[in-house]
Amino acid sequence: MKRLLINIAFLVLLAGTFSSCKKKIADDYLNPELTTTGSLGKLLSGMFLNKRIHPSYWDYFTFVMPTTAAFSQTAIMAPAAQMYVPNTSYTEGRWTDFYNGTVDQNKDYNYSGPGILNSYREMQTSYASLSASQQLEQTVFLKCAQVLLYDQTAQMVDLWGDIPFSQASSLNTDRTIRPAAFDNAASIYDTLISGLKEINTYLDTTTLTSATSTELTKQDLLFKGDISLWRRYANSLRLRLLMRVSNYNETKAKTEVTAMLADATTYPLISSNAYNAALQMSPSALKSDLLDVFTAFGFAPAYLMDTLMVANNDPRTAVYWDPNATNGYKGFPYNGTTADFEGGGYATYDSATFYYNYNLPAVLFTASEVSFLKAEADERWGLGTAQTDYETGISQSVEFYYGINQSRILRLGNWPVLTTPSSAAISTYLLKSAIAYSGTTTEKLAKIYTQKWMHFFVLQAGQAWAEVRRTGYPVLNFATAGASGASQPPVRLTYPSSEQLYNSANYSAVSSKDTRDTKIFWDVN
Amino acid sequence: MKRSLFLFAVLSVLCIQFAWAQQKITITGVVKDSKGSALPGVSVSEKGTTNGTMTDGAGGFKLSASSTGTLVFSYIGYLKQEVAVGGNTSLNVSLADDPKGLQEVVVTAMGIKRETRALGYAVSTVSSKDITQAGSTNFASALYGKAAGVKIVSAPGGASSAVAVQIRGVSSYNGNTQPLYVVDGVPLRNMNELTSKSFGTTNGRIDGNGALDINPEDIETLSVLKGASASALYGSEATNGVVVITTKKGTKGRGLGVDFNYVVGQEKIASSLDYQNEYGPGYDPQLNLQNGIPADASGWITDADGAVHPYYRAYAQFGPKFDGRTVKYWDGTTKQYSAKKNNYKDFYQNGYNSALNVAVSNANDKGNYRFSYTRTDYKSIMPGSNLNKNNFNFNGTLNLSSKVSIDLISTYNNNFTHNRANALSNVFGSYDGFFNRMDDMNTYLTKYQTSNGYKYVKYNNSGYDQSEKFALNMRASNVLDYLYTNLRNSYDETQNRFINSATLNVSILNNLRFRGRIGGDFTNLGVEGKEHNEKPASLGYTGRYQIQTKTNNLVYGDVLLAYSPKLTKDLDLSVTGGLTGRKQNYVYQTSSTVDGLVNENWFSLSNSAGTVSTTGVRAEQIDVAAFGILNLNYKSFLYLEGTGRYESTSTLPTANNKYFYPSFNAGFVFSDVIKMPAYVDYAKVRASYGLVGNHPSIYEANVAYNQYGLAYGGSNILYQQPNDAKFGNNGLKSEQKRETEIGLETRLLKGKINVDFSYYNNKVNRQIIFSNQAPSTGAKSALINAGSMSNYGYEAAISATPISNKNFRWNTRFNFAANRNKLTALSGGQTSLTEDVEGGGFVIARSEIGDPLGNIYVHPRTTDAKGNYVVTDEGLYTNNSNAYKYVGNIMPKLVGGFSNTVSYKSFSLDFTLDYRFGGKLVSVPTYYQIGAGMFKSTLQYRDAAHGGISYNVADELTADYVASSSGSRHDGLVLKGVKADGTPNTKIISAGKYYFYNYEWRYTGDYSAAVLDNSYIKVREVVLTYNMPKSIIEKMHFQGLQLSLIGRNLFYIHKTVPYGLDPEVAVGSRWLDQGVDGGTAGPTRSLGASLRARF
Repeated sequence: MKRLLINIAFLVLLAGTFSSCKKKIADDYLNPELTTTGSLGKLLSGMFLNKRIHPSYWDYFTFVMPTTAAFSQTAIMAPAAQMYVPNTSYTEGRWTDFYNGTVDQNKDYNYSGPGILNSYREMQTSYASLSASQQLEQTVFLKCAQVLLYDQTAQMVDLWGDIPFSQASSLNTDRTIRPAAFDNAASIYDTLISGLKEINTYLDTTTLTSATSTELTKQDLLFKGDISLWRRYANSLRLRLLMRVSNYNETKAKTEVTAMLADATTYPLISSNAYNAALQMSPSALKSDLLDVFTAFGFAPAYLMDTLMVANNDPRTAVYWDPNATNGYKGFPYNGTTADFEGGGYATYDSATFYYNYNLPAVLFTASEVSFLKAEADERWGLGTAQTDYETGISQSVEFYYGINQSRILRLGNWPVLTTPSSAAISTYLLKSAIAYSGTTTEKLAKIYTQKWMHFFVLQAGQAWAEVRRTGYPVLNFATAGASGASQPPVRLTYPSSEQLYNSANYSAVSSKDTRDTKIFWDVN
Repeated sequence: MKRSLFLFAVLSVLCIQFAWAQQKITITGVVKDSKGSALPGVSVSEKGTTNGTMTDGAGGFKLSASSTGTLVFSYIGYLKQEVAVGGNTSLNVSLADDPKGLQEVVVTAMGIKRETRALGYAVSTVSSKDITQAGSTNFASALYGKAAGVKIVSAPGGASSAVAVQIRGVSSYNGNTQPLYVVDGVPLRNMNELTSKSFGTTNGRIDGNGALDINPEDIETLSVLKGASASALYGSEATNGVVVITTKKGTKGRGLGVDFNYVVGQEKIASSLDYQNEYGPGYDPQLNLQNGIPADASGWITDADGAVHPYYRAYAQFGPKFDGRTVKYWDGTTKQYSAKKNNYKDFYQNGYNSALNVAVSNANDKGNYRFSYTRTDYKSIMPGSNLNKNNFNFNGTLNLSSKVSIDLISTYNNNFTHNRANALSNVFGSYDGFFNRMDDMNTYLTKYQTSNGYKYVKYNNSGYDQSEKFALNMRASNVLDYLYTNLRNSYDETQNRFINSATLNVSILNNLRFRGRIGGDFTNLGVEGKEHNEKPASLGYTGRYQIQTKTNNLVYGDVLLAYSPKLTKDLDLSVTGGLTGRKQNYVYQTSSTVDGLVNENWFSLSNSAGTVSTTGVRAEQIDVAAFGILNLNYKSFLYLEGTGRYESTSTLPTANNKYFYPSFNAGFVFSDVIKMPAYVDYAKVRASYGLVGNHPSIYEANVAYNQYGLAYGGSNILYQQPNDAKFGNNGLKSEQKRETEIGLETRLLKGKINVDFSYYNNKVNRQIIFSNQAPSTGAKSALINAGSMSNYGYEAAISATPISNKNFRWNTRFNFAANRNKLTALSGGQTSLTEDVEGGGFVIARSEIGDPLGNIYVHPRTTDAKGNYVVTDEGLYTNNSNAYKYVGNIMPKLVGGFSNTVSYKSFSLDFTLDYRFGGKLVSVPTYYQIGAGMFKSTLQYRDAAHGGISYNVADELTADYVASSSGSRHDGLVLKGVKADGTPNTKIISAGKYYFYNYEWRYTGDYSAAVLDNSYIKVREVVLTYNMPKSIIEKMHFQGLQLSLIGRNLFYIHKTVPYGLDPEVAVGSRWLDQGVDGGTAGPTRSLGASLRARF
């Protein structure tokens, strides 16, 4: 009996242990490696690390080079029957990186990085849980993130047309699963254009507390907390979007652009390379790592190389390209064969600027583009001196690319630093008949578009492809591919199968437009 | 002090001796069967005490017992016999056969031993002989076909690769589907990582699982608890069934026994695919022209130097016909242009398996022990992979007194795995792995590295080792990469695992017992990866060095109190209550060089070109539960049992982390009650109902941000990132499975036939699913309670001994299981569970409400209103990519096995077949190989003899071909269908173009060709054994000596998958993976021999 009592006591002890486990069990629900407290500043920092924003191996190898660069002929790929059918797994990756990003413990930014929209939605969710006074202090993070979001959203529209946007990312807002409808592409653009105007006003009028300012300086990888630069980026982006829709809704574009260009104080723009929205790499874990990309897609396209650059002694030739040992600055013809490709002998992307450069910046917006946008507006609507803006754009482009060469951090090898061509050399270039700002309006616009395309080059191949589709310039020839129904490049990408399969009800509303030859709304030529 | 202790001890011993002498006498005797043969191993006990022994090899026993007591003799298969001592010091007993009862004892949940006849649910048991005799490297792959309703899937790669065990169909859509393994009462860690619930691949290498570490030689019995009632005491771990393993102990009656077992076998690739050997690499002439490949109409390329060769860069095999001419090979040598018929087999190497086991055991009244050591050496058929294992096992029982005993079990497992086999999806599932029909594996095996140890030099690589540069562009670089990774580089895993348990058994009163157990499963895994510099460091830093450590700790404890009063003469009652708890820890750390190695091939973190990357992960999971069992036994023919478990787990949100799991079951031996025909020896019906659960894996449910640091601009920037997939759910509830089961057991014709039949019906509610979501929802997948699924099925095991006489005996065992599954409800507005099997939506698995899991759909061909196939101007079909058509279900309709033992005098032959009927196999790699013209079947249309139409070429670029009986080419065909205008298609296309586009990667491919019927009957094991006659072995001082010849995975008697494909290529622990081939290694066949000796 005594034994029995001892055993009962033992059991009671165990029962006590059991209940003390309760707290431990509750604690162990949460992963100690993760945090449940969202921070607007830290989420903003994450957005810059999206692998489609900075030059990542994966983006360039699987998407930029074979898709946007190849379709805008800023790069060439080996001929193949399916060369104009984008790999659907790779285009799906482009899509999911906007909405979701990729988590990877090893943080290899070539393959992983936060998403854009989900990070922004989480910022909104965290913002909503703040007190009114905290919200007032933290709004600036949301606004900066919004500029970045709008830039990327417009790029998504340029690739696909209608996309889920206003209702998207329900998991990040209220943690429920609500399949999102596809928003009309044109109305998304309207939202972005009006939103950017509001952001400009907010940034103009806000005053940051010193705590917020300190945090923003640290977490803002792009402008180190300089609000004035965010304003320039927001306005320049708005200018780009307005010009993009200018063939679709010219009245609106003309009115808004006229107002912007007339008032540089209210609408400061990226008017100099010093104001560029270009995220510098910090060659540690975040660096450009494109050696294998340029090894696989290394050849210069013949139209860009031979017809435009070599023929006019373009001052950017040396910073863009390495000559081939035998054939010098010779480009790969658009209709080159597999045998030609395997045979080689063509100029390739410059070793120091591109191949071996760990410090190729993430180019979001440059002064040169602003100048060309202004030149186009000037020329079409008589707003200013088109020639000056055009020539400024070229000079800024030259300065920009030599700047990349000069700030390179080489992973390997030793190439001389190139000095920026003298203004005399640029002037000589500007006198070449193919370059000089002369001819009919159509010819002048063609020159603006062509120069802008050359400036975008592979670093902003998405913009290059969008503008080629919008303007029709430069006029490019493409080889005829063997694949049935895909002998020429498409004008948009088709939706990824994950949206078709898992968002089927909303997809069915846009499925009739989901073909490779449905033009984006601004593509009206 | 020391002295007094010694005196006390001596006195105590003397006192005990004295006490015995007062009451007890020593009884000796021999136990024989009804035919007069001695019975070794018979349990002899004194009734009402724990005093007992076992008979020795000659049936003899010696026991001290009360002179007025009663001895009980029991042995499996014989009637229990009670003999009063009556003062006799010598008792000779003859035991009668027991045709009626199954006095077999099985170990059930919580390690409780019960008689089979008392069970109200199905349990399959597998004997130690069945597990070890065919020399399988792990116990699970020895279970093929041996237990009804238990499906085994072994990953390729042999001894180092995981084995999946699936019991009674699919219980979880994408949660854990592996059973819980309980070894000597301690739940074992099965998966390598706490965070991984499915065996998959790490760095493309096929992972192992924890079940591989259980040494088959140490297993005494294995019982499979299949239904919810059987496993309900394990609650949340038990949805997928429980495999209860008891290891071997020392047995009484043998004295000091030594067992020596040695198994050795060779492993070879079992079969090749049905490759065609008539055409070499190349594309059809139109494609050559379109892509600017300078090949002539037959596919020949003539170089500037006059050398002739086919287009080696082609992944397709529509090139020139093999004619034996001399051609330039891509490595620059010349070769005869003919098929290398065995190049598939040549890729693999011959492997072997050797396992040596020595066990020493002894037992007496004070306790027993067994110590066993096993050494396993294994070389895989996959180039560069091998494994060495040391396994030490100690199992001992110490009887402290007649009421208290302690069991100690300790296992130490030491594994070294070198270059664990890779999945071959990059070879068979990627065009860049398609070697051509003339490719010579010797070239690959010598060219994957240069003589300086760098990576192979492609035709356009002008960086290094230029004398070894390939002369021409070639295709199958993934094969070279595979060889480089596995032959040049190394990935070495060293695992040390300790599994220990200590159990205290106390008989407090005659009918009150206490048991306390504490156990642990500790694993430490160290990984060292060495990747050599692929090119000279002056051309860029390559290579990598990484070290990883993983620690898995599992601590388990339970206490149990059992009270079994005799209520009345006819009614026995037993009440058991207990507590159990388990804590699992996981710590993972890895460090790796970044951006290559600066000093070539110096493997050190200090040699990293970039900042060394270090990652750490930790995790902890706690599960605790209280449980109770109530058993009633009425006159030993009616048994009732009820169990309950109240559990709490840390993997669920606090509001939902506690739940209760009840179960009830009953067994009724009606042959004891109702007058049965004479041929029925024994018959029992049983019925059970139970509730078990499944919770999410650790940390899956919580919603949180990843926070990382980034060195940027001179400071450390912290940033946050929400999950891109596997989004959590703080409102998640546990998954619940209710199962009802009824069964019938019977023994007929004096035990010659045994039948065990079960029907079960279960419903799994609140399925925990990582449901695929559109990316625009915020994440690619999110955790939800998705709805309900039900399964029902039949299982039967039938064994018979049709012939049994003095010299010849034939025993046969047959089992089958049929499971049907249905999705019965979905929640949250979902209309289907859909998964993209192929990646681009071309092959999907989709189940709507009412459908079974595993329905496969592909895009249908475009048809006109009348249903005719629409053919394009180019003469090809297209897909209707907005629609899907059903092409089959991957679940088998019937699975099972058929085992036989035929013995004649000293020889016995065991053979086991297993089979699967019904269901599909999705093999996308096979589909791509059709498109590449790899198989014999793709010879169709290639020439007149194979049905090709003759035609002349009007224009090659537009493939304008004109039919002509005197045409220059004979590989034409016209697809059946109509043109866009409705008129019949007349466009001639070449065979090469047809296969290339009709079975191409996405676009217009007809993926229904990837969905294949999969039924088979396989001869799994054949073992021929010779038992040395007693007269000889006794002279050699052996107790037993056995020699066996072994064959495993021998051949298929029947299979439906075409192209020489192995029906078992689809591997994985998840149901879907088991029906989808992702490109895996070829099947193996092993032949070997074993020697088993006892002395």
